[in-house]
Amino acid sequence: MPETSNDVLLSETRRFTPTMRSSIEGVYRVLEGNDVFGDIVAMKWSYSVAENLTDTTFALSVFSGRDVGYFVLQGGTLDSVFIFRGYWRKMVNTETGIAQFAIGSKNGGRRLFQVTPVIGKDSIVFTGSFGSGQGLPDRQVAFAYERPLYKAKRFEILGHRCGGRTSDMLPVSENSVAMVLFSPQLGLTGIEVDVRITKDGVPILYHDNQINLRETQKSGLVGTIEEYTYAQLQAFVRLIHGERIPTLQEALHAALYRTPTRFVYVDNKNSSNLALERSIQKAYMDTAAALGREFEILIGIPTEDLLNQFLTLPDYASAPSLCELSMDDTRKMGAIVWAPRWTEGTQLSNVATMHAEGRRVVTWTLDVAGYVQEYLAQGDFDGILTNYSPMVAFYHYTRQ
Amino acid sequence: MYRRISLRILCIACGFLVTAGLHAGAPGDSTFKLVAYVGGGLSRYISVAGTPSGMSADVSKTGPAVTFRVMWRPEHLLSVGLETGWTKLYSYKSTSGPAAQVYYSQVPLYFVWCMRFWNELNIFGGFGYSRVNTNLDFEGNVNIGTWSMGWVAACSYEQPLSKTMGIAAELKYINAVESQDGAITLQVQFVWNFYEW
Amino acid sequence: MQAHQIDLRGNVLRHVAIGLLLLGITPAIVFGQGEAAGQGKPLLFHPQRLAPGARWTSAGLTSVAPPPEITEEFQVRWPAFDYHTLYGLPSGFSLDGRAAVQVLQNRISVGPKWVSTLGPVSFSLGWDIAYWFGFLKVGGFDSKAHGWEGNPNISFGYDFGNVAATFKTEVLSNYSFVSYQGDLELSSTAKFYSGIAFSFILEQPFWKDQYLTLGFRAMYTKFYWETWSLFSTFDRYLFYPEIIVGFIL
Repeated sequence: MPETSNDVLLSETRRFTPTMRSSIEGVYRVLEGNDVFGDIVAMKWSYSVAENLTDTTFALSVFSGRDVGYFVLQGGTLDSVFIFRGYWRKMVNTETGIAQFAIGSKNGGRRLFQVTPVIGKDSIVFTGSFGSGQGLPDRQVAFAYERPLYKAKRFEILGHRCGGRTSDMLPVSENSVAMVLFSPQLGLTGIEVDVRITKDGVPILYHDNQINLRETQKSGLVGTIEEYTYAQLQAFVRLIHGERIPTLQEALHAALYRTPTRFVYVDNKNSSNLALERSIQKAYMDTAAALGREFEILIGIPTEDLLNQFLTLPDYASAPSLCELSMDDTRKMGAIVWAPRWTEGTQLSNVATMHAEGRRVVTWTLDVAGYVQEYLAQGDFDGILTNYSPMVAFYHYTRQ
Repeated sequence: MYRRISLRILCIACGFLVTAGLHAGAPGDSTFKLVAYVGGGLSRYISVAGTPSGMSADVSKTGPAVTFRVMWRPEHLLSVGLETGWTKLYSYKSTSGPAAQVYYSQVPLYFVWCMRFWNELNIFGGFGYSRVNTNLDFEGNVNIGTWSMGWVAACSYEQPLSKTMGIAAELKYINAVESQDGAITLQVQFVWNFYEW
Repeated sequence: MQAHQIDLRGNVLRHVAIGLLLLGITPAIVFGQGEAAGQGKPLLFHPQRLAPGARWTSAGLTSVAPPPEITEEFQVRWPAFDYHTLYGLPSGFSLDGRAAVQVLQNRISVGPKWVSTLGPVSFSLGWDIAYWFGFLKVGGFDSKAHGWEGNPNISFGYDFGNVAATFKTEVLSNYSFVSYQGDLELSSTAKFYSGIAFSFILEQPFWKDQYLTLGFRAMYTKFYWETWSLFSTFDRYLFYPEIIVGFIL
């Protein structure tokens, strides 16, 4: 990612109000820059809260349908002009650069200052420029408001491994607290976390079976991660961008208190301690309820062994869960979500059956743009787990 | 599990190649030899010897290396065989904070080819898997390994001592690619033509 | 590495590939017809002029190690059975046919090759057209796919007498990619220029009169057919090393 911090101009601006932010969200027509970003984009806000739980940073994400492209911008007002600075990136390759925009006073700036602004076609125009790498923005780009975001159907855009993989070359590591905090900018509504249990019984986030160079910096440690204690992992292992391996509690704490994430899919990678996981799930969901915060944590069951273990929990029938196995197994465990692999097709009749039983259906892990479009247009899923949240967000929010 | 499957497939594939070779072709006057190489020497780790960030440590990249190799040498330039052995990769000890020590080594299992020039110079090349192993001593002990695909390249100069025995000096580069572990070894080897037909 | 530097490397490789192919035309002019064709030696990769009707065939294995960006920890490296045949045509041409078989996925290629030689030095120009297909209906998969590829190539060879060495460069192109998930079909023209491959091959007698092919191929490409079922979406050049071993029959 290009370096975009220490922006002097942004530090002179005033914060957007909640009304301004919600008015800006929408589907926009691309007036300039179509060859890079396509003909339409979707804009949506997200936030992250600092560790002191008092400072909140808002980010405007712009989702393009071309090559999983997106912008992440921060901004403020200067007189009646809205200023945005940030970066753009295409996730399928390594194209990235600095971006900057303004909404002039006559292009919607003055309108957005109204108490209840009326927003219609072309009432807001973003004009700006974007560059390549660390170079100055030198190519023109402009967006004009077209219509509101699609919100007719509730849909979960779930970020794989908290938001993306190591190979997606994001600035933070997969399955880290840093990724939990970063990934709402990618358009997701929820995250999937991969949980393993250390030798001394601590549930941690880590995807692979082994300590390897795909996920961690070299330390001379190899082998199955479950053979190490939590203290050994904390002392010796750093994820690829230098973070420590988080515990499940640390990840849930960050998601609940510091992001707008509303759905957590706990993917158990080995014979987990499901009783411990259930107690953690209950504690955080009770806390979320007390805070008035929408926050679901689902215990994910991908294997028969884990299913049998789950069924031994005294309160399994009331534990929110997700089943990756068959529909019968889903019923057996009382799961509220069935999660078949995307390569099994849209399965319209099976999905309808699950819906009739009051269950939701989420498919995984779908990254192919053509299939995302088909599944949204022809399928009836309630969510998609993906490494490319910006792309799924684009196709979902630009639906009509 | 999947690396073991790959290793088995590699062994079956190599077995197929060698066995098919042994049973094909027309009979005639030829000399085939089985030659063993046994030796040892020093290894120097040349990849990045990673240590945990925030830990100050004493790193050692030099250590012992041994090789065991058996080659089937037909009458032409090319011979084929299997190689194993053991090489220290690197080790480190913490110099501050709680006592901690890591010893990192490998056991290669490689399918190697050799081309022989002027009866003395051998060029080896091969591919296969290394078993890289960690021995960690920190709040308990962990001794564990994993498989890492890699390749090897070596050249050796062989001096015959008798009709069936010789001594060789070998310079080798072994690279366990998946775990990014590369080491150069310099070894003295005993060469023994232990079977001929 | 900066994003634009990685793209630049891909562009440089593209230009190198085109340059090498164009460079191949120069030796054709210099070498002219070269030496007369005959049955030749049992060599398949090494450029040699075969008499019309002459034929060589090899059977062996190839094995590719796909990059960890695509396979991650799931690294099943199944070798492919490799069948390769070369059939002599008039005027220095030959027909080069190859099949890579992994049962669940397979690839067949065929293409013309024109060879010119001057003493121990030789070179060839070729263009292989390939069709691949794969199907996976197990464990949560209801997928199949197929595609067409084209690989223009140039090879330079030197025959040392007891060993023939060949250096081959290929431009990798995808003409089509069609996949099916359940009832859904998705077609893509994919990336027309996919990447480049460099091979170094030795062919020599191994024991008695049995010749062996031993080669290493380095592919730098955005798509490799054997990884179709992983549905990689990366638009990046990734490194795929390949080992080639064959017994020339």
